[in-house]
Amino acid sequence: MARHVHQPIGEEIRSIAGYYMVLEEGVLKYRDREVLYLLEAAAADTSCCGGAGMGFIMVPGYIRELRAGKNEDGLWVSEVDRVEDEGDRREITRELRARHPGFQQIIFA
Amino acid sequence: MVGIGSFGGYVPRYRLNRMIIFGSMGWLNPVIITNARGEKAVANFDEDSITMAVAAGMDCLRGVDRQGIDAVYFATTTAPYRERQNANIVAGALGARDEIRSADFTGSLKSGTSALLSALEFVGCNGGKAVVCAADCRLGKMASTQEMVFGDAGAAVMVSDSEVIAEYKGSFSVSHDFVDHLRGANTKYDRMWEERWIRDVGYQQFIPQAVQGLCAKYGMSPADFDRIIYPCYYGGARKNINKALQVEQEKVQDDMLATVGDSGSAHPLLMLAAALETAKPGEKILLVSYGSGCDALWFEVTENITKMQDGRGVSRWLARRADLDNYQKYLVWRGMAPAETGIRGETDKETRWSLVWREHKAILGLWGSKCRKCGTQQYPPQRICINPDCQALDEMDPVYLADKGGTVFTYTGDMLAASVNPPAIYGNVNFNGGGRTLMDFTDCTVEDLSVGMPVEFSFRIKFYDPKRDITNYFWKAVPAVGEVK
Amino acid sequence: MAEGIRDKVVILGMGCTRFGERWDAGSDDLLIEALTEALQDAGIEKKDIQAAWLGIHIDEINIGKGATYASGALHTPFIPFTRVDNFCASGTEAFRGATYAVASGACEIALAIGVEKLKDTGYGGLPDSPAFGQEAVMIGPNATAPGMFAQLATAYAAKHKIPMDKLKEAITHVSWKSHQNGAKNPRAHLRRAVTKEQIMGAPMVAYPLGLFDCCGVSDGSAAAVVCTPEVFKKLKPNEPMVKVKALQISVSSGEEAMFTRWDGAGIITTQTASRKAYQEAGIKDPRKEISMMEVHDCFSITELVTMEDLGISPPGKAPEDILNGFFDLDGQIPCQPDGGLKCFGHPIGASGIRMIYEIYNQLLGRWPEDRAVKNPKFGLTHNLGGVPTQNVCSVAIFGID
Repeated sequence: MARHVHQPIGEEIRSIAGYYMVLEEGVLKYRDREVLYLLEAAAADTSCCGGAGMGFIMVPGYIRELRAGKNEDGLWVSEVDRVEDEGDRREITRELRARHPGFQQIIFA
Repeated sequence: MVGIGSFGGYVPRYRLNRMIIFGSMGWLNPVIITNARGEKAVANFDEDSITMAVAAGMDCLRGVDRQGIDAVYFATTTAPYRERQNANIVAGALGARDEIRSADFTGSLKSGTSALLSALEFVGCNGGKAVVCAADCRLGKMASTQEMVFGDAGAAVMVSDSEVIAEYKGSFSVSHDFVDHLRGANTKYDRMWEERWIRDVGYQQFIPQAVQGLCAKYGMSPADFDRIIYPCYYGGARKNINKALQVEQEKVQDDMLATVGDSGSAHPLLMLAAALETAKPGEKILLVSYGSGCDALWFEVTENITKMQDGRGVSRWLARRADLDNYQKYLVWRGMAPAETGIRGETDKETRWSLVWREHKAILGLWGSKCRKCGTQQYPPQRICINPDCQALDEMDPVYLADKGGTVFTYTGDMLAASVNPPAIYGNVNFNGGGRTLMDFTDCTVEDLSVGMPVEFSFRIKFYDPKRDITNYFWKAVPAVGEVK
Repeated sequence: MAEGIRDKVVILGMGCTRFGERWDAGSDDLLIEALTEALQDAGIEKKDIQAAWLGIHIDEINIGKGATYASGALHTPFIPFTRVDNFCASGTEAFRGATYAVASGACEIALAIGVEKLKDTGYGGLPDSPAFGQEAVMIGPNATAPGMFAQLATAYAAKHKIPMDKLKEAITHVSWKSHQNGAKNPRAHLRRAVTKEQIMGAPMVAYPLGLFDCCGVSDGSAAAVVCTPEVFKKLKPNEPMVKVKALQISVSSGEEAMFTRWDGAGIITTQTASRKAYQEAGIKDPRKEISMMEVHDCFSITELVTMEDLGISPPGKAPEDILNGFFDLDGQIPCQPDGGLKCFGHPIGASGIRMIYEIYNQLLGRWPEDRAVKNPKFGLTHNLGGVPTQNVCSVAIFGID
């Protein structure tokens, strides 16, 4: 089991090279389980070299318990199981790509 | 004996299903659905007629000593330069000597066979070897028939005076100022006249005229040939032509319309390469081109053919495919729609021709150097040996690296680098035989790569300078397609 | 071997601007800001400077060639003023010019000043420049520094058989630590602590480097006035003296880029420069003797391999040291106590001198408790310019008497 900390929707998480933010959270039914995923946006607008922006989908894992509690920063924490199997990752990637075309990266936590 | 010494093909990796074009543009011109079967080959963003001609030439020249080439001819209707011999870029990439004949053949879709005829006559007069590389990358406007039909590909034939795989027996040509398709000197997109006229008066009359002319000249009948190769993307017209010539359907070479599309000046030679992949000794082959007239050529396959049926040709390129599942990407790759590249993308890159000339062997032919003292191979060519334990000065021999291949040493997929196909993939490659260099990767995704993986080198567009209309070329690494047996 | 410059040059005063997107300031403003602070700290006047070196890398968009822009902006009185450039080591190269001048006896007081004004390009990142020559324009990939340094990570993981997940965890700690430190620093470009979850949650910009593994560009300037120990004693009697113990530069031979011996998992120039620097400074066991470091963390993976290249962590053990907190502010050898390139920022020509500024102030115990390194004796600075296959490395060591 792993923990996923829910970052506030729409709030820029900034590094010196750029920022990213969660646009929305979604749930994908996959086989008999539910997969939590986040649609996110990023901009590397002040990186030392080059520049880029991208849409990406972060997949924390299969939902065990959504918003099981809060952490010390007051953010919601969910309990998830990571998607480890390569075959499952490929299939989930395929389904997410079909559902949300245009996103450059699909990342499994 | 003069004839074909080797052959090669090239079909770019990306294929656009014609239903995607219809799905994107059918709202505007619904009749394009009539051509919406199969897929067409689309040159990658870093490919054009020159790079595809080189790729086909590399395929054709596997195992051939490049120093033995006496002429390089390039045929296309989509040359990047009107002044600057395009064939010399091709010749440089193929590793040919400087002391050769070279020429561009253009202006019609039969320029591929015109170049081949010139090569046959060159070798007939002078002996030696002549290479013909043809490729086309023609554009139709969005929602046009041409956009549906045209495909991008390259083909190459080496003509030789010895060990020929197919003997040249004769030819017959007809030339007409028949304007079915045209592009003016400043026009990007193909324009065509009424299709029924092109079909009935063009293909259906000129191809039989050329075939019958050849048969009359040599006392042959179309039925004497074992394989008949001609381009014609009208299925109905093909049936009529076969009927007019009284040849059986199975002797007529597949036109690859469903897999490649009409590749213009390269197409007859591409079909020839596909035919030679399976041709048997003794077969008589009739090759006909079409465009502003026709050339008809007669070849007879020799016993040597089996030596060249080693994987070169078209099928392995056809098998190496990936879907181009995005019509807009196609538009941007082909420069059909303006795309924002950011202020950084506007950075001016001047081509310094005197530098390019000084380094032309290293740039065009991926020539490195090899130290006579310690045997270390290195790229770019060095005067002082890179081996820290050697460091000999001016003890180098040139070495052609473009056909050597190598392995991946390190790699990355870079979202930050300016590219029309992000992420930009590049890394360090170790050359087989020694030496290392940093280079771009193409025709792959980051997921396709791993450290130690074998790569081949592919001649590609390095960058285009829109301000001065200059296309610059260099080599990139691609995952090895599979060794020739 | 030559005896080197150990203890022959001391730092009389230093200045450093706030780093960041200084839309309000041009190169001239930044230079004036840094020099004014340095002169105040040194307790001298501009006319006392006998020679000056300017460190700057990108000249295309701001000050042009040579040093006349700087001498004109600062109105230095007809003294020798020389522009030096050696990629990201440009600031340290300026410092080398000044220290060598003093060490040689050619002058008694010299200035090193670095500046970079990068926010007049119209886009993020450094301007495109043919950094490796015109032939490279024709044959080299359109690479970026993140992409080039990312390849260190794939090679390092392969060489030491460390799973990429584990390596990502270690470089995440590197970034996390720099954010923690930078958050406390009023002159840092980015003052914000982040959680490891936030770092891990960022997308990839160049596999396997994520958004938080990369540094940015900043505007800024930093200056150092150096002099002989004799002059220092005259001007600041009874004050502690920060001495230059070593300063070494190593530049790629071309071997990494073209020969097949290099393993790609570390930086040869860092290994070379640091060994020479330890010898010059008389340091036998850097892991025990160095008290703190400011290294060139252009990417978190660079900082990781640098720990091994400097001989601080044993080969393959940097991830372990990092995750054990060895380089945290309260660890054995704090690394990037000021936030590093990752948070303090990276105006290229100024960065090397900014690092010295941090070490100098730490050695003098000038920082508040919450960001002070405890009882420092030797501080090390490290710059790495260029790319892993073709680069310039500087290593400098400072000590306090």
